[in-house]
Amino acid sequence: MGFLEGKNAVIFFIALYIVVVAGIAATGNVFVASAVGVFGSLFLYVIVAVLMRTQVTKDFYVAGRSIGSIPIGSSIASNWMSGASFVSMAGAIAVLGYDSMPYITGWTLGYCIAAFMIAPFIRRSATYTVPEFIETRAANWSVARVIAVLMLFIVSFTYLVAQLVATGVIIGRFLGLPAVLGAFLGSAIVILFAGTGGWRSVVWVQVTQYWILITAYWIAFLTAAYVAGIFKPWPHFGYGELLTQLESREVSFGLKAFTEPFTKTFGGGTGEINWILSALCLMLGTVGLPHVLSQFYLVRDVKTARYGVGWGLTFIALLYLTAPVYAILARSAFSSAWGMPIDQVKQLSWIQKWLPTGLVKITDLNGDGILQPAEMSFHKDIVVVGMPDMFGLPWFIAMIVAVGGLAAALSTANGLLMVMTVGATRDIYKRFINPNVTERREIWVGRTMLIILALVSGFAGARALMDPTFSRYVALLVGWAFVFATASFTPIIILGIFWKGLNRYGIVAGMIAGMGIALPYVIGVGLFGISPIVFSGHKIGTLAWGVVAFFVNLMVATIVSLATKAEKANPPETIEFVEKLKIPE
Amino acid sequence: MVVEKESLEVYKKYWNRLKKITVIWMIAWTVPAIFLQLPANSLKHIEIMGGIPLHWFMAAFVSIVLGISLIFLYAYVMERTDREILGKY
Repeated sequence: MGFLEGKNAVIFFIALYIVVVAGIAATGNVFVASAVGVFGSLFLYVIVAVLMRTQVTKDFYVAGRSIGSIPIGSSIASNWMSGASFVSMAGAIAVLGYDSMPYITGWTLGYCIAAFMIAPFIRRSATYTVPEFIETRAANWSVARVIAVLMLFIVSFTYLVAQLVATGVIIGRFLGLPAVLGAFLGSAIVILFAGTGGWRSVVWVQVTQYWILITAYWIAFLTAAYVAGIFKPWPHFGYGELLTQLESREVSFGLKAFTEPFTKTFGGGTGEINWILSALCLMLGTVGLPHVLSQFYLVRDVKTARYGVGWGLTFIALLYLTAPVYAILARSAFSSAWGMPIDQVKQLSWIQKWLPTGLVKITDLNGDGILQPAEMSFHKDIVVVGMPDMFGLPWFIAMIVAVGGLAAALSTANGLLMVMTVGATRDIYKRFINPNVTERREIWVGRTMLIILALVSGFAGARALMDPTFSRYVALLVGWAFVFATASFTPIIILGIFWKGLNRYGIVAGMIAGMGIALPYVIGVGLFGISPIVFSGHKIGTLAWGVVAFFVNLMVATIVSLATKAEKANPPETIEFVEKLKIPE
Repeated sequence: MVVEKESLEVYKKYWNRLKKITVIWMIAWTVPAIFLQLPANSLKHIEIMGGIPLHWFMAAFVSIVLGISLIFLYAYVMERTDREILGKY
């Protein structure tokens, strides 16, 4: 291997990118530096993808099963953290306070379940896809695979559309291009990443994107924290005084304090029981999402899978532990405008900049000329996107945030696109249409599927940007994906690994029962506004309900498997498959 | 690895150990996932580090760091188990 191949080359090009952008930034040309920064980052990812190109199906589908624990950790983290995690999470916390904390615990602690009960065993199964795993586990019953592929497509497609919307919004906001164009640019770029080398390219692109996105998040955070004076001794521990000031200001304006628990609605429910169950549903749902599971196939061995998940959660936590502090910084920045004369508020430079975008709205409801908390509303994206202006940070911080947000949206998008491509190629084309396909042809079929899928989702993303109703359904489906994963896949995968008595009837009955419990509730409460079930004064929201569906699925799968044990026991090869999962090779 | 009679015994021992470890770690997982969060209404009166309410800090920091430690500890214990029972290095 020469110097400019593989990992060395990746590191070299990242360094080159940083030097070039920093050099242009030093000349002070804002527009050129921003454009080179944003488009240069896209170009960087394409270079990485091309360096890792491949013609081998094993590389294309599972990155040759050769990824080490720290790279897979970075890839897990950037695959997981979407454009929304980067741009909107801190904002959601700033709006909901303590009641939004299920996002933080729920979207992290699921990886513990993955580490203890799923990742090492999925890797050991030596299957290529989650639907293939489920089919093999269901005694080679193709119906199980078809159901699994359908689930995979519904979840991944809506998620991908959401990522392309985020890409469009970010490109639009920072470069002044139409957001629809940005969405198409996003889908074209993702084709380049994934089409070159399948998972092998995508993993290394994701590794690059992780380090870009986390650096961007932290640079903006640390500079804002420095200006706000919370290095006492470190921002994550030093915000106590700032928080106390913020809360006393909130109370003096008649609001509930920011960290007061269980005062707001979360996932359509209220109260502590809803809080705990919602967090659990997000955790259980995490490990049932196909694009999360598929990463466990890429690692070198079982040991790497275990440590890799540890690194993955560590790298996720670098953002998730920071978002709550980010939220407090932002909330104290805009709460400082409360009580000021509205004319004076409109003179603040960050308000002047963001008022025309509609992300901040100011209306003098009671006509007294003084800003009340209720008279200033803000979109949750403003927290991360507008932070550099709120704290008067230098202009290039905003550019760094844009590059990071783009990295976050694209890294999740290429993972999702790969999952769907592998699903279409391996689980449909190779399984049902042409089992004897040659390796070369198989990769070309994969690339064709990839382009079709990317274009279709590009159009859907553009539609979502232009049509608010369509966009609302996409957002709802993304939120529900966790409920559906919790209700269908998660219990079956866990039971399938740990109990060899689970048979194909149990699998299908469990999934149908789980979805049968989840779907009507989610549609009724989430879409038609039917009032949720109340349990000792706590409203059970749609997310929280997912946990009920999880247990129903577990029970039905167990009971049906036991009841049909006599005539439909698992054949020897299925038993052998389960036995094999237990012992690392 | 070729399966022989004595290795079947070894596999059984390994799987039993693994099951025990899994149960212990899943119980440990309920600490950050559930039990640290349950007393939120009483923890909110305790302030640490110059004004951070403890219930907030539990959810925003402690539980996640605990989760990470649990995963690395699991990986380490399982690595040792692999070595001890299966003789893998």
